[in-house]
Amino acid sequence: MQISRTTLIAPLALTIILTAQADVVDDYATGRSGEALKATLSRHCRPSVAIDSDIIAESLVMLQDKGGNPLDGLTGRPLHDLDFAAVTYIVPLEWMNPVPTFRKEASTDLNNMLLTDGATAIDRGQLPLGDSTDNIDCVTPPPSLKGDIARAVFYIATLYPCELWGSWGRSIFDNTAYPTLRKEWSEMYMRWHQDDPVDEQERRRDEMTRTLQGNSNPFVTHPDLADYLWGEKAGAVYKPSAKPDNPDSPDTPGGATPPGDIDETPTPLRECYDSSDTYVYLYSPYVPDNVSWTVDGTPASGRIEVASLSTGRHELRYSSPTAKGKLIITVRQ
Amino acid sequence: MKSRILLAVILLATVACNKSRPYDDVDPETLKPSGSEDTRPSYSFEGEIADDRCRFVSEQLSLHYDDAGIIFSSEKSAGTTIYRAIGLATGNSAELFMNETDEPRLLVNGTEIKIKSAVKEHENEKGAWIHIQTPDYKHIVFVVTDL
Repeated sequence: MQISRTTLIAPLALTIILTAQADVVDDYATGRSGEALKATLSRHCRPSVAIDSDIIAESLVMLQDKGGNPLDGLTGRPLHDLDFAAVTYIVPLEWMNPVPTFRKEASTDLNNMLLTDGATAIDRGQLPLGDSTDNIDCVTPPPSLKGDIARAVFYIATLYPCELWGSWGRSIFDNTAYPTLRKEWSEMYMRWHQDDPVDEQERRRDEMTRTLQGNSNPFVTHPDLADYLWGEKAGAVYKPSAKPDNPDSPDTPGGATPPGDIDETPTPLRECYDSSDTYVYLYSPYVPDNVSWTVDGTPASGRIEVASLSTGRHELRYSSPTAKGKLIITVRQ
Repeated sequence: MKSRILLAVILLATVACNKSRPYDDVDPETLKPSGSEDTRPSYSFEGEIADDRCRFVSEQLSLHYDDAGIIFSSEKSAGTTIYRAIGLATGNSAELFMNETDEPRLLVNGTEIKIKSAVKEHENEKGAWIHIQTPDYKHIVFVVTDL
């Protein structure tokens, strides 16, 4: 395999899509929990471009946007000779074979791939990446890569929840829409995720991946999501953390001007509010910009203090020359 | 012996009579194999029109305005009216695109559902009562009113 950085740019330039991606996670996932939260991520965080299989290896080199030799994705050691490098799938495609609904899409998804030494790839075969147990032999990456791999597994479990898994996949995943990851494995990957948090290198890789295939790994841009799906907050309603985790993609919806403090990020409308919420923001990705709002028949704009609303149900309406809509929100103690 | 001859004559006469009656005057419906009758129950939309609460009701998905957190909306864009119902807590959604020239399109949870027809059974200043039928004769009710 001949891989040269200088030859990468030309073919890849045709496939690079530079899109300003609004923070779809906070826009759509806010207010959802469990299966609905996972389904939302699956719906809104998919790749928009299939990477040509001929340039996958080159793309993986590009993702390691750094000086010197690229690092082996399984061992963390420098890859001195790219001629002997190989592409390995974090979640092997063979595991998706019994019902290959997602196999084609997953086969070009850079978020599921690593560049590794050919010999290492052969040694690994289809073994799971994990901590070995009495029952299963695993390939265990160094601590500095464990979090990266855990977040990739979360991504696969979210975007490609197979109806039936083959090989070792049956031990790691179940055939449910949620949680999809079996408990002992989700606990292990959550430990990896917490012990090796997202670092600058992983963020850069994710940003480059988004440039190439049009999507980020939401568990890299919003690390707290994993906790809402498989961690201590599992089942709780997702609320974005106060500070966006990705400084390059601040959690401000496109076109909207946050009311009040300039650093304030409006959270989208949701079904229910309580005393832990300060404001109801009159904003939703499902509502066009520049509409006029009323709350219980009274004109309103920007945001409303939750404390100013009585406990119970409130009707919100919006209108513009071309759009009209309404919904009920509830306020609890 | 005479009685045997008489019986044979009667039988022959009976067969002859049957052969002489073609199927021209037989109701074709009675010739269909048993079980092929149209057994669909009759359906009336009248009861739906009497109810002015916003709702989307199909076999696959039900969204009711009275349940909090469901946005019901209508939007006009380039001659197309888009009716939407979206559950904020689940992301479940129904979107119906209707215009004068093209076939109506229905998307449920972002996936297009094949439909046979989408008819505004009733429309007034408050909204629209839409009756959608699928190719397998399922009925879907989409009411978007009082916006």
